[in-house]
Amino acid sequence: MISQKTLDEILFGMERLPELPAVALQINRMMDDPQTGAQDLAKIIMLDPYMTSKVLRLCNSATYGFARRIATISEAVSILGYRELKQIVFSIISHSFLDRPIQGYSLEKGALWQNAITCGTYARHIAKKINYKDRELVFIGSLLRDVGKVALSNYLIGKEEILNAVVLKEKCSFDEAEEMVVGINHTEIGKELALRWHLPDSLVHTIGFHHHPTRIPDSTPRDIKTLVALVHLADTYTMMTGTGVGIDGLMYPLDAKIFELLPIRIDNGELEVLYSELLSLQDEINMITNSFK
Amino acid sequence: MVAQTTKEIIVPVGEFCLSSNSHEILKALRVAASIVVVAYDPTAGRGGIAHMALPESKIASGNDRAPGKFVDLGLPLFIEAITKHGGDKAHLQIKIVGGSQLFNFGGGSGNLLNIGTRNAITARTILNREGLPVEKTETGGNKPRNVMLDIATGQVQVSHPGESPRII
Repeated sequence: MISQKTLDEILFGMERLPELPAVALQINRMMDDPQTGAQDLAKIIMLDPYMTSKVLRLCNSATYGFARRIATISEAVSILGYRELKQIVFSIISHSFLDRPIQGYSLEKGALWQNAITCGTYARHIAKKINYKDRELVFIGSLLRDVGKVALSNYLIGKEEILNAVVLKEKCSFDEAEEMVVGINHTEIGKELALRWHLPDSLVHTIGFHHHPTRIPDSTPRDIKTLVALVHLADTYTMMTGTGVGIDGLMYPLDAKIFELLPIRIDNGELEVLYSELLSLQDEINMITNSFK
Repeated sequence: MVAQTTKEIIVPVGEFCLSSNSHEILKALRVAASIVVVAYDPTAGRGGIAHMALPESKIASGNDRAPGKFVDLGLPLFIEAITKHGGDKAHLQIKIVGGSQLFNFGGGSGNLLNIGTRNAITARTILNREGLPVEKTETGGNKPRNVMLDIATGQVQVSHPGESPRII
């Protein structure tokens, strides 16, 4: 078990890990409030000049393909709506965390970001297919799920051999090996960060349990369990593509129990058709990643 | 005289690429469950890489059924293309790389999504049917691989993330 001191050291010893911007904290508080509307979100974004310029740039990128230029946040809000805008804001925040070299996992700059966008796009597609209501949350959860890797990265440098040896000897997944070698795994660190950032429970659980969705506490609401199951499946498919996959490779199991929560048959044929559909989303993924360049 | 620089060409999943330009290196990056077949004719100095994602096309329809995506459609097309462009089937050196698998240490998922393994088997079956012996195979495992073919020499290099490339 890792000590509080080491955990704090890992969490705060990372001078390069930015704090969650104030705008994101305010949006977090709003996320669970059903009274919140698009104009409230617009007001918060406009208080942050950096976020304002980034949001406008994305709204005017090929991803949205509007015929005319969107010049103000109010305009963006009225055209895109609250949920889409929330997705944009969290994409910008995730990009600032993830688009950097993650040396401990042997990921060059951009790799983890591409992995996140791939997983988000896959998860959103699966959510649509199974009629999961909050597709934006699915996307945001997928983007943030591996934020703990940014924090743990430095602690894995030079430990690849021992991590691989532990995986083989203990017949465990890579995150479990991280825990044995470093004292904590990337999902736990991610969860701690999410808690300190006051992210909603749905996102805290997604980050914390995306590799082992059935370890989520029983008392968790079913829609959150479904969300985590969905992100777990999208994460599995993302690993299979190899996009932004580092030294941990595909060393995580697919938890077949997720199919008790997802209306998808446990059938290789059906799962393969879904994989084929997801691979066809590459143009959409490229368009999103290009809009951040 | 100005020395010509080497050009690297990335072959994305679902596509194949042929070359006879000795200043080109063909690359497939982070090949996980997908499979890469490398073919090189040393007498003609030409070769190529096919990067395919799924074993059989019968599962797909419409736009999803892009031939390069499936081993059963893409691999015969690749072999046909390489012979049409001056490669001799009798001289082709064939190597298969990729087909990594999700982790499953007796976990609950059994053979679910065993696409990597099936990609490798399907590629071998088709090459066998085409009468093409496979010179080297590096498939399976739980890590993605980068694959490189140097058209000048026919040398094939493979590496896992964070590792130095090895010649296979």
